[in-house]
Amino acid sequence: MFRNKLFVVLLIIPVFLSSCFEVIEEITMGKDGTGTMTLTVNFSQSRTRIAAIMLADSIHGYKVPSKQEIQQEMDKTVAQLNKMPGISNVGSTADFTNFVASIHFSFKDVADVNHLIRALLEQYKVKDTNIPTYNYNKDETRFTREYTYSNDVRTQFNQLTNRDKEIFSNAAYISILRFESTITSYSNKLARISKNQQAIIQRLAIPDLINGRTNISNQVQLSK
Amino acid sequence: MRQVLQLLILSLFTGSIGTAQDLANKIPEKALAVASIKSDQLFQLFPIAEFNNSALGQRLLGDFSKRTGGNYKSIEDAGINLSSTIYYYYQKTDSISYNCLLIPLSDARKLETLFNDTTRAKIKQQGGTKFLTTSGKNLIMWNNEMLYVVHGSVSSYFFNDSLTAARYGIRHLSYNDDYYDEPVIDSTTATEDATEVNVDTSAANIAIEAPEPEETVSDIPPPVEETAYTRAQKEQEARQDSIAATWMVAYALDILDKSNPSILNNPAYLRSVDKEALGSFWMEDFQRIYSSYLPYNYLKYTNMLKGYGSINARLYMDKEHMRITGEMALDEDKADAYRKIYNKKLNKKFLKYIKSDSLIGFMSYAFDTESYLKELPKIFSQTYGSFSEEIDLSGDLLSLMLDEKAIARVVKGDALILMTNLTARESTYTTYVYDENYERKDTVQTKMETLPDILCMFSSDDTHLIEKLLKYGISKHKVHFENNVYSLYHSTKNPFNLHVLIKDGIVFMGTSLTDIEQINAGTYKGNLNKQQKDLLLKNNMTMFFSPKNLHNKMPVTEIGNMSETAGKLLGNSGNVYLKSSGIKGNYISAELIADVPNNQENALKYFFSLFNDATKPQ
Repeated sequence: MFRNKLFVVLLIIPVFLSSCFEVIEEITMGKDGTGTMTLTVNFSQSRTRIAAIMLADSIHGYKVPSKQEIQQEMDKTVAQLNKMPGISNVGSTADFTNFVASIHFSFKDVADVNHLIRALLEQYKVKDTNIPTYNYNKDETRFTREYTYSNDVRTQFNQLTNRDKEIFSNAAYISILRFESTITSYSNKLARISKNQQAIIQRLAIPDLINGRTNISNQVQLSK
Repeated sequence: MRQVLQLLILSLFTGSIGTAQDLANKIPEKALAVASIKSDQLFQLFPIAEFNNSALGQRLLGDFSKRTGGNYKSIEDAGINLSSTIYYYYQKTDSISYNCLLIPLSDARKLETLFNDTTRAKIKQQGGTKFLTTSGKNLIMWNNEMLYVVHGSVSSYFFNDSLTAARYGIRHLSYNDDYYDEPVIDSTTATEDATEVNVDTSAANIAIEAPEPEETVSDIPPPVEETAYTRAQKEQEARQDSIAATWMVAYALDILDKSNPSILNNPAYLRSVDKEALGSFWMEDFQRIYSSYLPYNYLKYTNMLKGYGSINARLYMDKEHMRITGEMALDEDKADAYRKIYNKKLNKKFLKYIKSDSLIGFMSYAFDTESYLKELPKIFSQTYGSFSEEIDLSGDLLSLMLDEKAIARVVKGDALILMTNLTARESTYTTYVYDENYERKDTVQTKMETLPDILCMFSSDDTHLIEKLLKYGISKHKVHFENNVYSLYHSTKNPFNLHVLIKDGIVFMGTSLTDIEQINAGTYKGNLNKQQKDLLLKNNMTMFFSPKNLHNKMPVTEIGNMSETAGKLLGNSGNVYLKSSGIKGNYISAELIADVPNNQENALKYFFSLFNDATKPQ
C-alpha cells in the first residue's frame, strides 16, 4: 500500500504540470423558442494526471471521488433536471477512459435554462454571483445572453492557493449557438459567425472570464 | 503572546559578551520534553551585524522601536545574553501543563525597556524577581540572570472531579442551575497539586488579579446579548484562569529562586546533549506521555506504546551540511525484535544498476522477511498486552498459516526503487474540431507528456510464484511477454507502462522498456558514486533526492507552466539524504542530511535564502 502511494506521489510531481480542460456549451434554438442544450467538460488532455489522482484518496486536501460516486452524482443531477418545468429528454454520458462528461436536455423556452442553472448552483452550493441569463424574444426573433461581470468571482478565485489556481490557467470555454434562421447581426465582436450564417462561436480562456478581461454577453438578431 | 514570540526570535539572534550560564539545571527533573538552541553557534553562522541589516532584523527592530517608543539599532540592545543556550521545556502534572522558555539575560534593565509604560506599571516584584502576567495563561518572570516565559493550561479532566472542583470553588454548570447566588470564593486559597510538583506554598499567597481583556480591536462585531448561563460560564473560566495564574507564579518562583533536582539527573536526556549541535530535542518515553494523557477509565489501553522509549534529536549546521540525527530508545524485547528484523543488507548486485550522475532520487530498504514475520506476533502481544491470550492465539494461528521461510524465499526483504529520469512520451487525447458551420466532430490529437521513469528491484530466491502470476496475466491478455520481458501497458487504471524482468535472483520492474531490455542483455551501464554506495550498503533504510537533477531534466516547455518560485527552489537546492542504520545499543536511529550548495556560505544562510525564495510573492 505504501509503495502504491509513493508511486502516486512520484507520478503527480510532473503530471501536475500538464493540466488543462475545456468546457463546451452548445445551444440549438428552434424558431418557436424551443431548443436543446449540451454541456460538455473534457479533461482528456489531463487524463494521465486524472488517472493518477483517481488512484489516491485525496489531493491537496480535497477528497477524490470514485467513478461510482461521480456516476451517482450525475444520475442524481439527471433525475433532478427531469423534474424541472420546461425541461425534458435529459441524458448524460461519462467516459472514464478519456475523462469526458456531458449532459444534454431539451427546453420549451430558453428562459427555463436560467431556472435550471440557478437550481443546480444551489444544489452544489455555488454562490451565484454572476451567471449568464438567456432570453429569446419570439416576436422580435432576438436571442440574448446577458452576463455581468462581478468582482466577487475574482475575489473568490484569489482565495485559492496558487497550486489550485494553476488548474484553471490553461482551461478553455467554448460557446456555440445554432439557429434555424440566419443571423443578421450580433453584438459581441469576440464571437465568430459560421459560413451558413446560422451559428455563432466564441472561444475564450477561463482565466480571462474570471478576471473580467472578456465578456460572453451577446445579442443575436435573427432574420424573420 | 505576540510579544513572547518576538522575544523568542530576538533571543535567538542576539549575542553579547557575558558570563556563560547554562540554564539546564533549572529544568525540572520531571519535564516531558526539552528543546534547546545554542545562540552562540547560531550567530557564528549568521553574524549579528548582518542580521541587524537583514529584512527580518530590520522589521523586528522597527517593530520593537515602535512598540516601546525606543530606538533599537541592534538586537543586542534587548539585554539578552546569548553566548549561552536557550531552553524550552514541557511539564505536565495532573492539574496543569506548562510550556516554558528559559532565556539567559545579560542586562535585565535593557529588557524592561522593551515594555511600554502601561505594561511596566503592572510589573510585580518579590525579592530580586520581577514578573508580569500578560493574560490568565501567560507569565513572564525575570531576575538579573534569566528571563522565564511560562504558558500554562489547566487540565480539563482535573476539575471534572466534583470534590476537586468544590475544593477550588469551581462549579459544574447546568442549564437548570440558578446563577444568581454564586458563592464567593477567594482564589488565593487555591493550592498546587502537590503530588507532582514541589511548590513553595508561601508563594501561592500572592494575590493575582483576574485576567484582563486583550487590547480592544476596532472591527469587533457587535456584542451578543449574554445569557445568565454564558455569564456564569465566563465567571467559571475566569476563576480557573485565576487559579492557574496562582499556580504558575508559585511554580515559576520555585524554578527561579530554588535549586531543585534537574533534568541533568536523567541519563536519557544527557544522551541527547552534544556540544557540537546547534539545537537539540529530547522527549520522555512515548508510553509515559501517552498514559499521562489518558483518563483513568482508558487505562486498559495503556500498553499501546510499551517498549518505545525516549526520543532525541540534534541539529547540526556547518558550511557543507545541515544534519538532523534522531534516536528512539527501545526496551530489551523490542530492541531484540528489531535487531533481528534489521539483520539484513541490501543485495550488492543492485548497485550496478544505479546511475549516480543523472539519478533524481531513490529509496532502499533491507529487512529480514523471515524474522519480521516471526517477530510480528511478539510485537503485537507487547502492544496489546492486556489482551495477551487472544494475541498469543492469533500469533500462533498466523505462524501456522504462514510458512515464514517460504515467504522469505519469494520476497527476501530488500528493495531499491530508483527514479531515474523524466521522459517525454507521446500521448493521445480527445478534443473537437468544428466545421465551417460550427458542427462539432470528435477528433484524437497527440501531445507530449513528461512522466518519471522508475526502476524497482527486489531480491527473490524463489521466483516461481511471481512467474506464475505473470503467466496468469498473459493467459488473461493483460500481460505481454517477449524476449524474457513481461509488459503491462498503461490503461485508465495504470498510467504507466510497466515492464518486469526476472534475472539473477532479482525481480526488476521498470517504466522504461530500454532500461529493462539493457538489463536483460547485460548492457546496462551504471555509475554509482562512493557516497551513494556507502549510503546504500551501510544502512537498512535510505532515501535520496536530487532537486537539481529533477530541475535539469524538466522540459523547458513544462517549466514555463510551473511557478518560477518552485523552479528556483529546485535549481538552488542541494541533495537531500535520509538514512537509518538500524539498532545501536537499544536505540534505533535515523539521520537526515541536506547538502549546502557551493554558492552558499553555510547551512543557516542557505535555509534563509530558500525560505526567502519560497515566501517571495510571485
